Amino acid sequence: MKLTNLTYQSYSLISAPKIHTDLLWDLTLLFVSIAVVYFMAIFFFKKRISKIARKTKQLKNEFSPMISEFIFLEADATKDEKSKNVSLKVEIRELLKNNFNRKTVAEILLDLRKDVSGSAQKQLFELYKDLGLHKASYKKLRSWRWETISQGIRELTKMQVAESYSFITRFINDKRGTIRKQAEIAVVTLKPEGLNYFLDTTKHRISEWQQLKLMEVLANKENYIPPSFKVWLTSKNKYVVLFALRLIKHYDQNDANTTIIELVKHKNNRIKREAIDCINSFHVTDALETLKTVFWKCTPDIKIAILDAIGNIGKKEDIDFLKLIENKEYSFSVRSKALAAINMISPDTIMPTEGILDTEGYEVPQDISSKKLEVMEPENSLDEYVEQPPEPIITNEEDSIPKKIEEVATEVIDQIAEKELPPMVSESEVLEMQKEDEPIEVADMIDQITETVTPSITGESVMPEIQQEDDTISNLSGFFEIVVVDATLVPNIIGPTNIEVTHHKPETPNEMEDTRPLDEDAEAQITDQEETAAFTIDCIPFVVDELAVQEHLPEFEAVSDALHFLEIPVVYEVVEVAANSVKEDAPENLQFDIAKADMYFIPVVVEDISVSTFPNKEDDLQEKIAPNALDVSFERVAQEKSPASSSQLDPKQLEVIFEEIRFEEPIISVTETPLQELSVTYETISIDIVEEKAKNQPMKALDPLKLAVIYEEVHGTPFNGCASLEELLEANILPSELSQGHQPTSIDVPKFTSLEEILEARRLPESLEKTIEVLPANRTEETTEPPKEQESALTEEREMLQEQEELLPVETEMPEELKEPVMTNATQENLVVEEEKIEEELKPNIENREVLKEEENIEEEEEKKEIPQELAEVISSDSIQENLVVEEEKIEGEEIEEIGTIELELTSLAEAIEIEDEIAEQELPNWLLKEIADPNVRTSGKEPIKTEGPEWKAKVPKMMDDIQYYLQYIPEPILYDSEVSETMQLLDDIEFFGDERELPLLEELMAMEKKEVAYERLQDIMARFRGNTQPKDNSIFKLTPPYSIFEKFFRHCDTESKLILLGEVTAVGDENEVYFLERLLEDPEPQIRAKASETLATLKERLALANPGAEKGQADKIYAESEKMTNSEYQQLLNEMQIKPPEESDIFEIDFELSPDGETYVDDVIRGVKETPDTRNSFLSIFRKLNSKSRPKRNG
Amino acid sequence: MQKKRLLLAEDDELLASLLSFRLKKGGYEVLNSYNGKQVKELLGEGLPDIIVSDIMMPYFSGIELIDYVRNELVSNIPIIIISSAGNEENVLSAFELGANDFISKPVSPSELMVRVARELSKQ
Repeated sequence: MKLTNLTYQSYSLISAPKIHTDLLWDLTLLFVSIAVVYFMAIFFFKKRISKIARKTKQLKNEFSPMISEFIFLEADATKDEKSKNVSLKVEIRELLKNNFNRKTVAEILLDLRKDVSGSAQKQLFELYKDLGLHKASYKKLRSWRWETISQGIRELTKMQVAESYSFITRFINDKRGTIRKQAEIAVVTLKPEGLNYFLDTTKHRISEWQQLKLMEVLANKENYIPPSFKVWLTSKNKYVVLFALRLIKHYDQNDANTTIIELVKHKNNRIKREAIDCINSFHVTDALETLKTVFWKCTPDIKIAILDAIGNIGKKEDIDFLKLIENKEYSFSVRSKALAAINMISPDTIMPTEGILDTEGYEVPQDISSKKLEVMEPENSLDEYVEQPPEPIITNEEDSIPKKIEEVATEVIDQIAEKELPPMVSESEVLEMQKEDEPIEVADMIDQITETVTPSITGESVMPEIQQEDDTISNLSGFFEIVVVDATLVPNIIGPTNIEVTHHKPETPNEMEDTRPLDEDAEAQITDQEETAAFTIDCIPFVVDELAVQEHLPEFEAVSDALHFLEIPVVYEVVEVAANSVKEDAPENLQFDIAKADMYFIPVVVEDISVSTFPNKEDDLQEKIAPNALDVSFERVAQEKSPASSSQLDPKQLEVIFEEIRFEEPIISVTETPLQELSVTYETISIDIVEEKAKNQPMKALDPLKLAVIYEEVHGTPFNGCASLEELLEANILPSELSQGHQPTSIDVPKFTSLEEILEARRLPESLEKTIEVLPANRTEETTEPPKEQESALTEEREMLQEQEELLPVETEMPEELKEPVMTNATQENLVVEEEKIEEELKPNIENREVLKEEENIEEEEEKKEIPQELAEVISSDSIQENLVVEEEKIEGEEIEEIGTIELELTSLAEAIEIEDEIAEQELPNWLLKEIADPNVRTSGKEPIKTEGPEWKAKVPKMMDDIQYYLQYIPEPILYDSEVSETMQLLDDIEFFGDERELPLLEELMAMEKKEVAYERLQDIMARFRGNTQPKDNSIFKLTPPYSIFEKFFRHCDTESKLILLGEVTAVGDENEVYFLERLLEDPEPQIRAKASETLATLKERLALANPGAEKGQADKIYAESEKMTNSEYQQLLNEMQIKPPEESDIFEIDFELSPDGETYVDDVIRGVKETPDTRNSFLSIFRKLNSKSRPKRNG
Repeated sequence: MQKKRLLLAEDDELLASLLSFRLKKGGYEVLNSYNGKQVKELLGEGLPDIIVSDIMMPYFSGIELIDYVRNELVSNIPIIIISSAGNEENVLSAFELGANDFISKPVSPSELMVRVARELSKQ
């Protein structure tokens, strides 16, 4: 290329780049061609999009009437309509084979879904599934592109494909946020239990927006019954806890108050905030203490929320806490909220102070000098003892010394609080302080001190006063209050002595607000304008009005006692200040300068009206305090001797009487309560425990010697044909009294105290009242068939007599004629005679009855003969009556007098019952046999089994074997008492419904449980929940074929759907489907058979791969069987089609095996890297893993 | 018996098709229009027995349609308005201008049928 032909001229001072013209032309051509391509591409794509849109629109117009047809097909449609519908269905299925068509139809349905509701919408969902469009969505789930998966989930959710629930749940913890969120909404939408699953399993953050969307989904769910969300308050995922709290509030579930209170202590502010909101909503007053405790460690927002809650649910007792906050809190918002909360609890307590002008003659409210003292317990408050606190004496504004002192005291307390208890007192700090062996709370103590010394929370009276007071604190006069302090706390609260108190006069309202935090910086900023009056005190000045002391000293002592009782040592000091003035004159007369005085004590200032009384007090005090036990020292206290003192008192001239009493013993008992008065006498209480058996025995009241026991020999079918006592009761054969009181292991025989009662209960004929019938074993009279009309009456009669038999033996008072204690032969004969008489009376009925009886007896005898020996033994020893006979025979051999008491009889009866229980176990097959053989039991059409003849004989042993075989799987009954039974029932329920979250409850139950059975059961369940053991495998379930979920669907669908379902079985089926598929191999339809065979083979293959370990053998076996089967079918098919199979070739034989870990192994081999613990976490191994992870994605 | 004429003004063709199908099945003669212009043209041809109209339509909204029918055509034929949920202001305007009934989306075709029948029975 020549560079000589330039297209431009060079100008001086301009040095443009020298580009050859050809290059420019080349570039021009390049850009033009790019532009052309670009525009052509735009044109092409636009055209294509337009074409697609047109086509889609056209298709939509075509499909929409079809879809409408499907949607509005009514159940009562005519045959033509239905046939038209079927043909339309076929047509649309054909059309759906085209991907574009399928996509368009899916779009139509998804569009319509948002525009229609009601039954049309439901039809739409059905149609979507019916056309198999959900399969396309399933395919999208398998994509590796997040947007495709998300779209698939969205489609399945919108079209309510509940079957997709299990597929979507695996995306709940997907690392891609969009998919995860879509899956969360889907899971909650598709099934009612979806929310439970989601809350149980999610490990990720649930955003606020997501929470709102989930709540919207829940709100729109039909017939949704929210679960108890409190179970998720213990979740490890804090977002789950937060969401659960919101749901609890939304659904007003106020059954989790305790947990919510605990969550107030949560470190997460949002959870804390939500818990406080719940407390506020549900008015949980129990949470007040917790709220107060956590308050100090919260952020301002939370503090405001707490104060709001306290304002809503608090009581007047909480005002003190709120006042403390108002004093200690930095944040203006929090302080304001605290004041607002006070006003919420007690309206108009806090009045406005801002901008209130000082008016002349402003009266100080009483509460400035009449602060109440409180001991620990509100009910023991000193308010009771100091009923009328002395009023402050106000001389004039300049001499308002009490206010000055109080102001100083306030400052001192503030400083104390700042030094010792920072505003952010942590819970742990409070707890630590509580641990210091004092039973009272430090915070409360501070409250009391602050409240006592602080003149007014409102400041409405103090603040104006401050502005007007003198620069120096020169004069003090006034009356003060009693203060009781725990000596052990004083160092903690006050800290080091010599607290430098700086008092400055605020100039502006803002400054007035912020005088409280006196930190170092603030102190440094004190300017010359701030006039200071510094003095040092070593203690809080606790000053007591003498009048109050005089009036209330006994009460004060009583308070001291109370404190002693609480093991609080009391330190109090008394300073006597001589003054001859009465209260009203005190401000003028009682003045002294403490401006430069050092106070090294807690002065208790008393007006000395009668000084002579004080030594008595001291004496009294010393008398009451054991001198040996206490180290008492008194320090100087000034006392003015001259009562007619000057108006100004000089503290240095005061005579010291005593100043301080130090109790080294922490417990001082001023007034001791004699121990004798408190002695408790324990008396031995003897409890006579009457044996339950005897207690429940009404016959006990009767003289046993006057009673006779009659035993009857009863033959025949036990329990009137019933196999067990339970059956008998169910059949209402026994009277209701017996039925209700019946226990499986006891006989309720002794419930009747007399024969009259028995007869009345059983409505026996009058003729039977005087005797007890003894039924002969064999009654063979007439064998004529009883007429059918008489059958019911006959049955009744028979039952009645049977009942009587069953109730025996009965202990009863002997009739006069049977007074003989020993049952003689004569009496027996008499009884028989009586019985015969009765029988004659009832002859018409009895005849019939006897016929039946005879038949039964014959049957029984035959059975006895025919049934094998061991079976005969079982049957013969079955009945309780026979056992009773055995017992009777035993007892008959002895003298009745020797039997002695009824307890003995009961013992024998109990033994009989035990034997009966044992026999009842063996008896079971017998009644089963009878039931099988009983023609009445059999339901329909089939001929009853003949229980006679050689056929029956041959059948019986086999039936017995079968029954025994099944019976061995029936677990042994375990009988519990009612308490254990309830516990076991509860544990069953817990095991069935519960999971590992029940472990705390189970541990609690275990701690309380004493019964061994329940304890073992608890251990078992706990082990299960901990994943240590598997549920017990009941081998009886192995007998039942596995249940396939697909079987249900197969019953109601056509061949095409069945084939589709079989495809699904291949995809999602498990081992339960094998049995079902095997049965399908015998299906009449060849298509189904072929598909089932194919599915079975695939499924088995998949199962074999999925379970290579333990189930490998079984899978191989299954596979071998299926192989055999499919080969035979294959041969059959070849024969049918007359096709010659290709010759076998070894080309497809594989001489290697695929390993599940093949990829990793190959990777390692290729790279020559052997993974060791060192290399596993190395830098390069990350890339290696990344590659192996991305490979499946690339493969789709 | 002569079928009742129903003018269905709905811009969503799919929904219109579906509702039209249902109404036809219910025994009405349905005149479909997908925008305001078509509605005017159809109304110019002759008044139907009842109008079912979406509020949001191109060219000519449902509100304007009511105004047009009530004030320009001076007709009392029943008008049922279809609107999306949350479109309260428009619905109130529609009622002020003389709409007889209102149904919100998503529409239940069966419900629409009942409402149409009720309005016609009032005439």
